[in-house]
Amino acid sequence: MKKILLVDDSRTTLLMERMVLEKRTSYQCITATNGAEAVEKAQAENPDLVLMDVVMPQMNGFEACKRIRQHEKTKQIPVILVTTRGEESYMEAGFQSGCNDYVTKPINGPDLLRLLQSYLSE
Amino acid sequence: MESALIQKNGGNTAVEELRDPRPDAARKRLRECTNQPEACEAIREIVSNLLGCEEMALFELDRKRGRFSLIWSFGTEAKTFHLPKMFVETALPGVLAGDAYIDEGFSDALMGGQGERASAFVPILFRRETVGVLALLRLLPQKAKIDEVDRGLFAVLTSEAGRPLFGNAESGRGRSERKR
Repeated sequence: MKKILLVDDSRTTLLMERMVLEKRTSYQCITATNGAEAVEKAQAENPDLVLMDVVMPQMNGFEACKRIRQHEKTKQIPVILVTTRGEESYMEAGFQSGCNDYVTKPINGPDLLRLLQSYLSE
Repeated sequence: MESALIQKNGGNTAVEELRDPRPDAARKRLRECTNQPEACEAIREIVSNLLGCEEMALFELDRKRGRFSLIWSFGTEAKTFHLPKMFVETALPGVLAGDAYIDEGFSDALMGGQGERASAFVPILFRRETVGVLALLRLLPQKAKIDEVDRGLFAVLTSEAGRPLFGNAESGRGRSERKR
């Protein structure tokens, strides 16, 4: 079973993402609410993919992505950043942090599912 | 509602029509709120993350004085904020009837003293009466227009936000009764 780490400080976003994934797929969802917790859970849970917000307390998504890339155990995990920040400077910072994809909110359920499946299909 | 056919993927994914879950997620989030601060935070999350607008203001209707008063705002200067003349002339009748007003052309719906423009006015109902209005200002740059899912989100805000925002006395009494 594929495991996805959902990272966002918004309960609403986590709720929406879980509604898409848990009702429509058999992916296992685990969650974190800031970047530091995401780095810890990525190491502990070894997910197949990380779907992460950028603007979060304690540690933002850019820094968390860099740290995930720095660790031997987690450096190959696909990381998709999903954020309200659509400015070019933010997108550049996202890819410099090592993310595989950068998606702007709002994202609809079907698009989210297609995006995840493009990374998780066998 | 937007829908898509989801392909089966090694037994992992069901083949079926997927309704966009944003309105359902918004409804569930608002129903978890028990007071005004929680409801304002939920509204901010819904409008920012699910709709694509990070500038908003919430007004409460004072029926005795016949005017709306600002009670909360996010992403803009609260002190200079007021509902525009255009709101009273054009949007108010519909809002009082419970219908959202969407300014497709961003015409002259100026807000406050900063020349900010409103994208939509969303009525907030409690006990079937309009008790407030949520004004949405500029949409995020990547958000081209208000679409059908957004209209679904407006409907959820209209029907679900009033209880936690303006039904505090009842929800507070409910909590104390449960404690006893």
